[in-house]
Amino acid sequence: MDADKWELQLRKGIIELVIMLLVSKKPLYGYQITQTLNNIPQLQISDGSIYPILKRLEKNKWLYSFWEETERGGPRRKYYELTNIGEEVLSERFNIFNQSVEVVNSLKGDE
Amino acid sequence: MSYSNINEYISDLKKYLNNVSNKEKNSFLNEIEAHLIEKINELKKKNLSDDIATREVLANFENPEKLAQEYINENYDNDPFKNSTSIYLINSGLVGLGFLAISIVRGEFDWASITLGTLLILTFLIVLFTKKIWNPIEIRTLSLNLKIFLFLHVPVSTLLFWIAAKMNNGIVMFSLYYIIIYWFVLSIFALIVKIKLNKIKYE
Repeated sequence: MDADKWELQLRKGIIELVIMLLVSKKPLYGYQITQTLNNIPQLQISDGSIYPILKRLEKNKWLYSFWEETERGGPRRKYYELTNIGEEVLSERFNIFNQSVEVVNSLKGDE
Repeated sequence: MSYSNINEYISDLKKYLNNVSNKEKNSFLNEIEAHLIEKINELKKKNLSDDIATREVLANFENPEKLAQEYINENYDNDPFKNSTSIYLINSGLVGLGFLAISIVRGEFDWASITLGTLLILTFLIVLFTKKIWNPIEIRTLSLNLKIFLFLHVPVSTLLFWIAAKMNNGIVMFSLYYIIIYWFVLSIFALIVKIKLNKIKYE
């Protein structure tokens, strides 16, 4: 069955949350984040689609980016890490996410 | 479309991001290019030839038109009300210049249209010089404005001049002087818009 709009939006929101979570641990570059997401079936994303999201998060000042040279002549990599504002946003979003799951589960339990 | 090398893909993506400022576009394109090279290198380590690895990576990568659209949707305001308001304000200069042309056919100063036209042009100039962030739709509108100044206002003003001459059985001197000043104003306008567009795109 094709994913409907609700599912797509939910997945998009979760992918964004996971991206912020991943870069909160250590600086990562786009290719690395894509690989990590694609290893989880529920979070698979088209190749390249992560960059518009990363750019928006950076524009919002939730992420900070820097270019770094690679060893043995590989391409330069643009690393992302979470800013202080990003940390606050992530924590707030986790609260909203957890509260939403609790509410839905409690309502489901009442049935 | 299938791509045989990274440059072809990047060039297509660049084309679809035409109205994004150069600095922003280049940063995005560099990152995409780095991703593609990284993935191709990974496949080459699995003993695939450079050509096959490149074709495979590009075949599985997001279509450039779709990726450019995703970029614009993610990064620019898609509020139709906000967008249509700003587009109206950007186009106010065009409409204002149109009102200024009415005096050509009248053969005398038409103060009502001159006042209205001047107010609209001032609105446009205020927007042009105070607006900090330009989204791709607004940049496209401004580029189109430049073409319209030259390819619509010039012929239409000439037509109005011709109508005035026909109506008065000869060239109306007021209209002649007025149209010369009008074309001068149009040229100044086109120059200002051109300079601003370059500034927006290359900043």
